[in-house]
Amino acid sequence: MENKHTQNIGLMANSTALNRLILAIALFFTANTFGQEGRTYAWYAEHFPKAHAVKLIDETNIVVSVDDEGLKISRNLRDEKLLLSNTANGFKDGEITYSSFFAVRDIEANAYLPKENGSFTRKKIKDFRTEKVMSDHAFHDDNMAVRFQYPDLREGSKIELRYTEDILNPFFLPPAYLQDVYFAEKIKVTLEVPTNVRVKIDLHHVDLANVRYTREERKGVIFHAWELDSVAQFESEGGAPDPKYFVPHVTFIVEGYATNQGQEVPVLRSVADLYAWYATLLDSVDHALSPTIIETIDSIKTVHTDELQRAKALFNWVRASIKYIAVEDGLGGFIPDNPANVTHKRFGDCKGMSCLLATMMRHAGMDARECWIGTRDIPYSYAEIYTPFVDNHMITAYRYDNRWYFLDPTDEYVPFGFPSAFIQGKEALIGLPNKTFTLEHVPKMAAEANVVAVFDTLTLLDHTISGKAIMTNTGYSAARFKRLYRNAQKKDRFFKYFLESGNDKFSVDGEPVVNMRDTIIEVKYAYSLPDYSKNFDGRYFINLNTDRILSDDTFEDRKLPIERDHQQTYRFTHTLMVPEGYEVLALPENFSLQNAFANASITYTQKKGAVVYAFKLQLTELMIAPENMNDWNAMVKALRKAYRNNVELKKITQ
Amino acid sequence: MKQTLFIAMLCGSMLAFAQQTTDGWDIEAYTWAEKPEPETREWVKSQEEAVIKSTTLLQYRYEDEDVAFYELSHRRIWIGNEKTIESYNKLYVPVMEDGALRIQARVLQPNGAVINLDEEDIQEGKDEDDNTYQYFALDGIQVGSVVEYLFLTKGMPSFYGSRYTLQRDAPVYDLTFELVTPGNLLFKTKSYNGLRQAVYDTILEEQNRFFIHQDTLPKFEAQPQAYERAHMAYVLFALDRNLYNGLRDMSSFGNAASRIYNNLLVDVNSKVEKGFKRILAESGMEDESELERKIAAIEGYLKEEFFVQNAASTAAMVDVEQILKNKVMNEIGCLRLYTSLFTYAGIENELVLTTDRSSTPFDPDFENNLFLREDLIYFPEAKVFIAPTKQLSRMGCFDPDLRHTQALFVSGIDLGEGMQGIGEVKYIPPQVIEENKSELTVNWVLGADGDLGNIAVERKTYGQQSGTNQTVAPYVQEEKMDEFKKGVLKWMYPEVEFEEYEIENLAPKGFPYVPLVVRTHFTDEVYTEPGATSTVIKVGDIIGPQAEMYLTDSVRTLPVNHGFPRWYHREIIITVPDGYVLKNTESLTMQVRSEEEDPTMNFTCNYTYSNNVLHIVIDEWYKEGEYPASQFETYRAVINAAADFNKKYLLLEAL
Repeated sequence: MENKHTQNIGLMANSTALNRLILAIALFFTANTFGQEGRTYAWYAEHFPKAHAVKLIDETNIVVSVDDEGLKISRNLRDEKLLLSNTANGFKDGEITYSSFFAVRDIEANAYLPKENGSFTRKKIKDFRTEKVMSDHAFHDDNMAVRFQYPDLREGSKIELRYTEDILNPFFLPPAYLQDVYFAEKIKVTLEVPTNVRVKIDLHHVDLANVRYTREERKGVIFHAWELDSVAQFESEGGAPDPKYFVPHVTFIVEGYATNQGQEVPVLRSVADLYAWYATLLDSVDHALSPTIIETIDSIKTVHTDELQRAKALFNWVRASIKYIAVEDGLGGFIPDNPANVTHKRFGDCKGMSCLLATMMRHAGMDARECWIGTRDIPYSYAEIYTPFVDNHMITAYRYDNRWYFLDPTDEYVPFGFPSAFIQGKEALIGLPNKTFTLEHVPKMAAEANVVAVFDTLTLLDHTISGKAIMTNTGYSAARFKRLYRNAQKKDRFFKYFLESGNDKFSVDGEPVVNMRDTIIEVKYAYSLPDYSKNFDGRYFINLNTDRILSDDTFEDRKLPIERDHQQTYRFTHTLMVPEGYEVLALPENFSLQNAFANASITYTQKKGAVVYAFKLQLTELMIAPENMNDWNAMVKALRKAYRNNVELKKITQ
Repeated sequence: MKQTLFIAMLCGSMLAFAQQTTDGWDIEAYTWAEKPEPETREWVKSQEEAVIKSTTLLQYRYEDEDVAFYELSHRRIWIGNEKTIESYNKLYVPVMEDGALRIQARVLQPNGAVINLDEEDIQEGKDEDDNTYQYFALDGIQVGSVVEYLFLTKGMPSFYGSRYTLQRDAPVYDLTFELVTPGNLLFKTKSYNGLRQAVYDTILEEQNRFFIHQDTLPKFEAQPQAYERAHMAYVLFALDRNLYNGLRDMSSFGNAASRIYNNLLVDVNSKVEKGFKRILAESGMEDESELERKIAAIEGYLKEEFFVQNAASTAAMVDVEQILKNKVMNEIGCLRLYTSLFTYAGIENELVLTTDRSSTPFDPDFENNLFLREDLIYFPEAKVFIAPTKQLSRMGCFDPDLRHTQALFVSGIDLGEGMQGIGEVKYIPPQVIEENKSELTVNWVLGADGDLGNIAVERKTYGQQSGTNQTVAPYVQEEKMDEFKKGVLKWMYPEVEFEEYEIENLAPKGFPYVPLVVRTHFTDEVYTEPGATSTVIKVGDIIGPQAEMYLTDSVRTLPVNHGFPRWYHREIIITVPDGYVLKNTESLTMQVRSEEEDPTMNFTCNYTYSNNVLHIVIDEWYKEGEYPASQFETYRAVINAAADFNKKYLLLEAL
């Protein structure tokens, strides 16, 4: 997965604002108090006893103008923090990162060290190093960093950073966030835009009651300002979706402007303009395939006569032959590598791999297209946001029999016909011939498509159960199996822990037989489960709930939703052979449950010489909202209760 | 201990004699074969991954006014499966600011085609820690390829102890290691874990050369709960003599002791003295009668008030007067503060330097400074250790890998010329199990007539058994505090909803003498299971999930590492309702232990059952932190005994 030049919330710590006039006044007053209400260091220390820092000021001032050369956009950023703990020196490394679509200038950084009389010694940072930095998410990108150090920081110190960032391409004007990972005394976002420039402004998750918004027009320039005081820190929670789903922010799209000569220049008026740009970039790709690749395609066509089978074979060939290595280098971060280069190198990024697959499929006579998409980390639709911030990934869209297949060759394990899990439900921008496009929704794969099922027969011998089992994994569960199986250092350990059921004494007898097909993986195995069944005084107690799915998954005080990778079905059917000379005493009650996001059932049936236990649980949503958490917890409690039940067998007395 | 302490010596000892000839053997002359040889040996080709050539050349040489260090790595790798492709298709070379002197790489494809790395494809960048790398992706790797690379880089010369690990998790064939130094700088080397000892070679006239050649170094097989780095084949080397100025034993512990001692001397002027007095007063040490408790009080105060950080040795970071004012310091500043403060307080102390035995174990027969990278302070009168630079550790409770090892103890002695540091190698024993005790008490009242019972749990943990809960607590955000507290017991009872939850001593004060105590109770919705005629009591689960080693490798060759010595004492008191009886109690008795008279490993379970009360007592302990491979099966049996207890059950039946 790639993240092209979009700035995420992690950068908020660096993205600060500058307003020289306000700063001068602020500095004058910040000798020993901060903020508007004369709050002192002691006040913050008392109110945020465990915080490492608070933000005193966080400002983003966006200035748009038009001169004879065209449109100019820059952001003046200012950030001031007060350091509250003896870990203050952890803030010593300052860094501004930016890609080649930005230029950074007028950097000013200061450390303010507290003196005993309550005032500060200002230390102005003079040494700034501009360095090429290694990407933290891609193999290579074009990110640069300006790095510097704040000297001798200690508890009560302040650090201040101001700089200007020129947005070299108006497509890449980033959003401005109105909340941070630190408490902020003041967050202010301003936009200065001349009346001859059209900017679409959208507020996301902004509670207007808490924001002071002003709009003024002076001398042909509109001044927008959004201001918040005393903004609580953003609290993340494990398993929650990307913060962009909750953190209030403002997005800006420059739709177009009139030049000083009065000529209208469109920039991004709709997704059509965004696509037009993508299509231009695609024009520079040389789609020629090498003779050996053409041979490969021909041989696949010879082996498979059915078109879908051919499509699958090509998809699998690209996934098996080309290793995924992400590269995001300037415009190269948007232009796919030539297919012939990718096959020569045997590696590529999402653009290179998906363009290669589309080209190969087209060569084989199929309707395959380059396709842009945002992963589930990005909450926007193309109708809402039509800038490069809306997507971060490329796949191949293939149409057969009026159905679109979303093929992601960077996902080594996902079955043919399944999108990669992290694009489910997202909008796909599919490039069509003649520079047209279509928007299609990627399906969310139903719970029935992703099954973990175990069918086994259980034989009792004293305290040990021997089982003969078939496990079936389909869809994303099959992909998971493949990934773990391939990466397992030791296969015996993999099987023990993957197949384990009942208790940790579970052991696999002999070598399991794995039948790995594309969408279904079947594992046949025999196992022993010692010390599970209870054999006492002529009676057996067996708890057939050997897998207790979700039994420890309750959530307390959850404020954010929980995101699941995919919808899922579990199905376990145990046929317990009643030993000769034993009878079944009353069976536990059957159980069933249904709510907005799941359904579950447990049934016990007595058959000749056997008890059949059938468990089914389906999780049918990708996101569990916080307001549903009570229902979720109630479901888990009900399951726990049902999981307690034992089947009891008794020796028949003659 | 960081290299900073040792830098002073280098300048005086070698640079005065820097004008040496650079003729002779030159690392830069090394080249690879013009055409790569295809791999034809079937026994190699059948493997998933093999290093079919591994050449490491190191050269120290005089350049201008300095000693320069060069390193050359030349490897050829057999790519036998898909996973191995991913290990080699992206390569990173750590370099100095100027970049590598040479980076070459090529792929020999199965069809004989050779794809060379294009210099234009080499990228350069810095990581978060400001280290510079050159890196590239290699084109055209397939299963059946041979990847070959050759890197020549210039590095920071290190004189007093270096390690090269030559074993991999793939077999290495045709291994060469060479170390070449100027004629006057004599190094010593020692190989470990199956690597041949280096041979001193007299071929070069004006240079010293050590070399190792070995046809095969087997794949390193990791084993559960065994250290890896400590058991991989590696070579150590260190500078021993400089023939031009006659200095000998240059990497010796004696030299290090004297230098470090001098480096830590502090001038206790009136301002420092004032600061010390305040610390001693505020630490509460005066209120303690035992010496050990006094030390702990001072340590606790310093750890909470002063912060150690990874920073250069500026005056602000190492000068005790400034440290007292700013309350931040680096590692050296920290050692200066602690040693001088304890000395001022009249508490005799010795600096102790050792190594993390999980990585490069201490070898008293090969003196060098690699073994002196970790610092502790020893108090001979109280016979206790502290780890001053580890903010979250307290009195004796620090990384167990710094115990059960030899160490250099540094103390001062006056030989008529003022105080001087001397060193002595001594043993740091592991902790004793009483220091790391965990006491669990469960009071379980069973319900009658299918009613749910009630379970009350009290858990007291001492020392390392409390983890770092007590020392971390001050740093936990208020919003996360509840979750943090519950986490102390949640892992034992993951399916339970605690009805009340009390936690005592969740603060560093008093640690490790005051136990972390958690008390809770809950309705039993998990540990009893209804059958048709009786209720199954899952008594085994009430001690929380236990680690198991049921599946194991057939051959155990490495010692098993157990962390810190520990003792679990558990009592389960079950009250049976009137008119009911518990059955299957006799299955509770267990005894699995090592064979010594005073067993070093033990799991026993006994019980009494009378007047409707079943009282179960379990004792489990491990007195050592490490057991030899020969005791592995016993260790495994004791670990599994606890896991077996998890499967114990009772039946509740109406009379």
